[in-house]
Amino acid sequence: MKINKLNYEIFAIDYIDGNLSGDLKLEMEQFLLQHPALAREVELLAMSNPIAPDITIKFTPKDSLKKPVQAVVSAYMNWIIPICVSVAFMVAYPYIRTLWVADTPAVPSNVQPAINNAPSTTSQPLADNSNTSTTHSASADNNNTETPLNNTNNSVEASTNIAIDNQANASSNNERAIASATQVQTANTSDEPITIDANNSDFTADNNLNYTSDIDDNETLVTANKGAGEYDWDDEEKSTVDFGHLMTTKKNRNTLLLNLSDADLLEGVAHQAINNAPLGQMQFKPSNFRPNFVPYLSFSLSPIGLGYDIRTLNNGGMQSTKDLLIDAENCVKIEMPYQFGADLHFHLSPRIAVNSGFYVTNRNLSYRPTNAAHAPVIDLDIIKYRTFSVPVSTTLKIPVNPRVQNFINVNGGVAFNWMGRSDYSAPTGSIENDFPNTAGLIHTTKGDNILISTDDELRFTPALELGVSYEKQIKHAGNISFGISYQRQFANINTIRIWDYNLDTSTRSLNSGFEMRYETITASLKYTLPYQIRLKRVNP
Amino acid sequence: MTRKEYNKCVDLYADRVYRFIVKNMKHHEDAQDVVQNAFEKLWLNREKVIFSKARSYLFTVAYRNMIDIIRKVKRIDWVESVPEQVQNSTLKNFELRDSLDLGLSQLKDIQKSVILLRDYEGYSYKEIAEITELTEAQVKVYIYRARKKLQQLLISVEKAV
Repeated sequence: MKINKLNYEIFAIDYIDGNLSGDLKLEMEQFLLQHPALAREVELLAMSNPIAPDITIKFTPKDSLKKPVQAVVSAYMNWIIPICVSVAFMVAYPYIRTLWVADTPAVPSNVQPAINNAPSTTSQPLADNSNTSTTHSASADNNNTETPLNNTNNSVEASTNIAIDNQANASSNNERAIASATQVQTANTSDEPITIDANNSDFTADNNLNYTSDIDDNETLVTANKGAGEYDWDDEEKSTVDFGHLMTTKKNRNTLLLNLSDADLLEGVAHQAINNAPLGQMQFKPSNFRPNFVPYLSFSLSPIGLGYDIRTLNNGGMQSTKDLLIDAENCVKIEMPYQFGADLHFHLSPRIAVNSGFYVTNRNLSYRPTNAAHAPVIDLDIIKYRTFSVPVSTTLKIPVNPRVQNFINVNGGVAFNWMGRSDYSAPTGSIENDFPNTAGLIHTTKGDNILISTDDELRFTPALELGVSYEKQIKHAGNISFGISYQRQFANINTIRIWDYNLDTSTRSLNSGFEMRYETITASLKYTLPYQIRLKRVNP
Repeated sequence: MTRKEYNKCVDLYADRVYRFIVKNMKHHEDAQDVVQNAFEKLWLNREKVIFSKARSYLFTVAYRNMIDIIRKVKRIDWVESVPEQVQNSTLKNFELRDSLDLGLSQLKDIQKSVILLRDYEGYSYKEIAEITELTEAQVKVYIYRARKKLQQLLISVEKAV
């Protein structure tokens, strides 16, 4: 390209900057020689300095631009980790469980085992190996006639208002040993119910030896009903009562004290002497800390839960959008969420349950002027929109009191949320028809007409869920619990849009849109039904 | 771009973008809006914009937003609207910085933008061309003329003082 008066400025800049190549530089110099005025102009420009930035000018609200730095774990990992932890815990659970089932049984100090000297290394009944007897309680030892089979009035632990004429005391130090063979002979014919005091548990029996338990609905004591023939004192097989569950509920104690009061004679005999027992024998398998737990399903209802949105995130940022700004004077407020739902609990053990359920959360939107933050809300419930949630979590049940089924439950897991439909209350019906997602029309204090809409598309949002609750058993009527849970969503669940609306022309233009993502604490009440579905047959 | 990198961009470029915009617009509130919009856009597109290109992205977005506002609001007074007598009468009281500001204010908007991008930010002619959607040759011509005009103004200021 030849340098001329029309294009010399392009080359002059490069010439001043020293960026012209050899040929062009020569050509430029020749051009300047031919045009002294321009040469002077270029020379002056070459001497001028670039403009220095005015560093006194600063953007002061810089912090408002910044986004808080989150934990290193990405949003994707945030909900993968709880799943992995839950799965890992479930896999490791059998090993964890051994930590508490392998403890040595705690024998109450006031109870002397009926057969306390038996080496319990085999599955033979303790009484088989025993040649001695306890000193003060009725013992069972078929090989040692020192033990009085008709020993009565050996009360170890008294039951209030009940004449304790008989007692049976049994223990086992061996996991699978059949322990105890106790004698009880009674002269008491009282009509009062018989109390079987199993380490202060609530066993009752009537005079027909119908034994029932109040301890735990899912760990029912095998019924021994002589009269109905369900329990045959003369039959070894049938006369074995499995107290394994009982032992579980009683913190795995392997000593059982029976206070019987009945005309029937329970004669403590050793296992092999069962056929010689005058009336029969009563045996039990304490299972020594390895309870015969049967997995089961239970069902609970959560009729009400009230929440508080800690933060509602907008566009991935952290600014609160509980108040969605319409303009400088008006905003839409997100009211307190409330939820209800139901859960299915899969009890893997007395301490562990896996839960899943279905919950509905409603949030109302209302309108108020921004400049009157504490002023009453002007138009309540212009929008009701709901989200659905399916939580999947694991619960660790920590017993509060071994005597009753009260727990502190700690649970953690994930929840999958998605949008439901909104309820509309638009004052003009045509708006709903024209804009299916439009939920309401607001007349602002500035005299504008504003449409508020929420989308109801199916947008799955993973969330982390953690909770703690106190569960209390109501006798034979299920359990009731009160808990607090925390949920944090890791993706936007819906968009709330604010439109400027022209009533005359029925046209709208988007004012602003808010991508919503919630972080919420919820306090809720839960009722667990007293019905359970056992997933395995109970051992006889 | 990570969240951390985005925040670093705020630290590195917020002042510079703002300085560039406010020198062009001479309106602080609008300039702040432009900067906020630019960073908001950067945040929304953080998955697409890599950290090393963030500065260029910010200046491009801010520049185009500024042009839109200028065209819409017509808030800026151009050199033609400033009476020469007023300029001369006030020049004596000006320091060099004020002289430069006055000189800049008398440049055409495009001249002002390109010379600020060149001198403030050290952008190459090619980069300036990309930001302003001009050709490289046009950029050079605008810069040459802007420098020439600024020089003439500064000389006249010196004479007046």
